[in-house]
Amino acid sequence: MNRHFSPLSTGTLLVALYAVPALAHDPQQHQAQPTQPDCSAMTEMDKSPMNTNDPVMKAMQQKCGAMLGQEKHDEAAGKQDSGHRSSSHADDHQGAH
Amino acid sequence: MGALKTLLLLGGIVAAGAGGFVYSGWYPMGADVPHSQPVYWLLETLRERSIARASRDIQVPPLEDPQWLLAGGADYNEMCASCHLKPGGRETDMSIGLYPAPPNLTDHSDSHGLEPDDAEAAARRQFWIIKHGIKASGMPAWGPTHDDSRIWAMVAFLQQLPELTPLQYQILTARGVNEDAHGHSSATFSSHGSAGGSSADQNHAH
Repeated sequence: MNRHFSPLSTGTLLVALYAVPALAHDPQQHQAQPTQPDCSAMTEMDKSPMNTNDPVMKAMQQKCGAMLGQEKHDEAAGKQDSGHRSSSHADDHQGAH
Repeated sequence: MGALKTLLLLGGIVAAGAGGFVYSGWYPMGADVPHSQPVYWLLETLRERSIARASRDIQVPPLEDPQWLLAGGADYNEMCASCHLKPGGRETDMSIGLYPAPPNLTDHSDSHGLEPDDAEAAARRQFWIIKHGIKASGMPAWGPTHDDSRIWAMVAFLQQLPELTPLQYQILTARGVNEDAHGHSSATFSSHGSAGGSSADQNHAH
C-alpha cells in the first residue's frame, strides 16, 4: 500500500496550499471593532505639528478628554493611596517599636 | 411622406429589436460580468445627471462641528466602511464583489467628475446619495431610517475622511461609553436640529 505522489500531484497540492490563504481575506476585516477609542496612543502622538483648531483634533480631544482625565485622576488617586499606605505602614512599624 | 414612412418603419424595427433583446435574456446580469463601455457610460451619465439635478438646491450646513464628526464617524464605520473602506485599507470582500465598484471614500481622487475644490457640491451629492441611495448599485437609501441630522453628520465625517490616519479613524469611529446605541451623545445635534438642507432636500430631491 505504499503509494508515491507523482510530481504533478505534489505540485498541485503545493499550489493549492499556497492559493488558499490568498483567497481568504484578512480575518481582521470580519472581527468586531474594539468599542473603546485607542486614546493611549493619542498621548504618545507628536502634537507639535497639529492645529488645535482642526475639527478632527477637536473631535479627538473631545472623545479622549474624559477618558484621559479619568486615567490621570485614577493615577493620582493610586499614587496618593500608595503614599498613604506606605506612610501608615511606617506608622505601624513605629508604633510597633 | 415617403421619408416619414421610412422613419416610422425604422423606428418600429429598432423598438422591436430592442424589445426582442430585452425579452431574450441574452444580456448578462451577473455582477462579475462588466457592462460594455457604451452601457456603462450611459448608466453613469444617467446617474450623475440625475443626482446633480436632484441635489442642486440642498443647503449645506456648517460641517466643522466636532460632535458631528464623532457621530458620523461611528455610523460610517458600521454602515459604510465595509464597502467604502477605511484609511489604510485597499479592498474588502464587498468592494471587490459589488458592481459597479463602490467608490473608495478615503481617496480624494474619487471625485465623480466634480471639481476637487468644490466641497459644497460634493457635500450636497453625498447627502443626497446617503439619503436616497442609488438604484441597482448596492447603495441603500438610509433616509427612511435615519433623520437628516444623522445623515449630515456622516457627510461631515466624509469631508475629513481622506485626510485621516488609521489611528485618527479608530479614535473618531469607536463607540464611546457615553454614547447611545446609535452613537449619539445627548447633545450631538442640539445646536443644529434639522439642518437647512433638510427642507431644501424635501422640496427638490425628488
